[in-house]
Amino acid sequence: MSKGLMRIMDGTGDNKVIWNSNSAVEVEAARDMFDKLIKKGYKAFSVTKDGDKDGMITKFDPSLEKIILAPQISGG
Amino acid sequence: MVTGTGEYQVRGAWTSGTTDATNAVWSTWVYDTNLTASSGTGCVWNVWVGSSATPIMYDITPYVVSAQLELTQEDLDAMEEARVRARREHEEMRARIAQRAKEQAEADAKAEELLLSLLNEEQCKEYSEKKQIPIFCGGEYPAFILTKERSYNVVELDARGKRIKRHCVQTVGVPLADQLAAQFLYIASGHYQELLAVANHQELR
Repeated sequence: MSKGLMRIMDGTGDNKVIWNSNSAVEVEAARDMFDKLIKKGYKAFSVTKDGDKDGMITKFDPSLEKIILAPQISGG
Repeated sequence: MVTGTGEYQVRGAWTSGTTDATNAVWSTWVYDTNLTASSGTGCVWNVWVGSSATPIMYDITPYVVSAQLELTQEDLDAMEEARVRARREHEEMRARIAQRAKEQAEADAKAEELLLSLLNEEQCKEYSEKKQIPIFCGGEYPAFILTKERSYNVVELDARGKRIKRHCVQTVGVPLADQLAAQFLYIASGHYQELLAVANHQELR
């Protein structure tokens, strides 16, 4: 059984979404959340549990260990 | 008593509260015949400015002991109700502010934890000690340094390590450490051009 973690930045610091990659229901729920946030302008980055940065992603992959979602950026 | 309406009783050093009764402001003012600013030593002006041998501290803050107002019981009840309501609202506001501060502290702590989970040991050390995060992109010197500030905190360096520009790019509605984490991820994953495309820039000379 492998688990994935999504950390979504927000006003509370971040919210965590965890899924079991063997559970279709959990994977779908996580995918829905991911897609919804990407549509809102969030950017997703894949990070391994060791901290390695794999890069920006645009599609949800349930096999990823950790995904960090950052809200849209704008010029200050 | 204060002259005038006769409705307010006032206590204070106007009539007493001095070590020298004859030099009390009120007595002097009333009884001194040399009542001008420039004449004799006993006039009110000289006493007031402390020309007498013994300095006198006057309490010139009169306060109302009682006020005879024509108020009905209904008025008094309404005033009391307003006072209780104002106090309750004040306490509720203080509680909301305290709760908000607590939530903000928790959010900041979570964001810091997320940020630190992305940094290597050296970056963590520099962030802790200097409140900045160097990001190397293959060179001898960092290509970027993120400073722990909300605005213009993305500093760009040239190949010799000289700071040449700073960029302002923000994430709204998240703690500062989350903004740094987002900026860090853009740069560390090689998407810094995307970051800089929306940023405002400032040359550093």
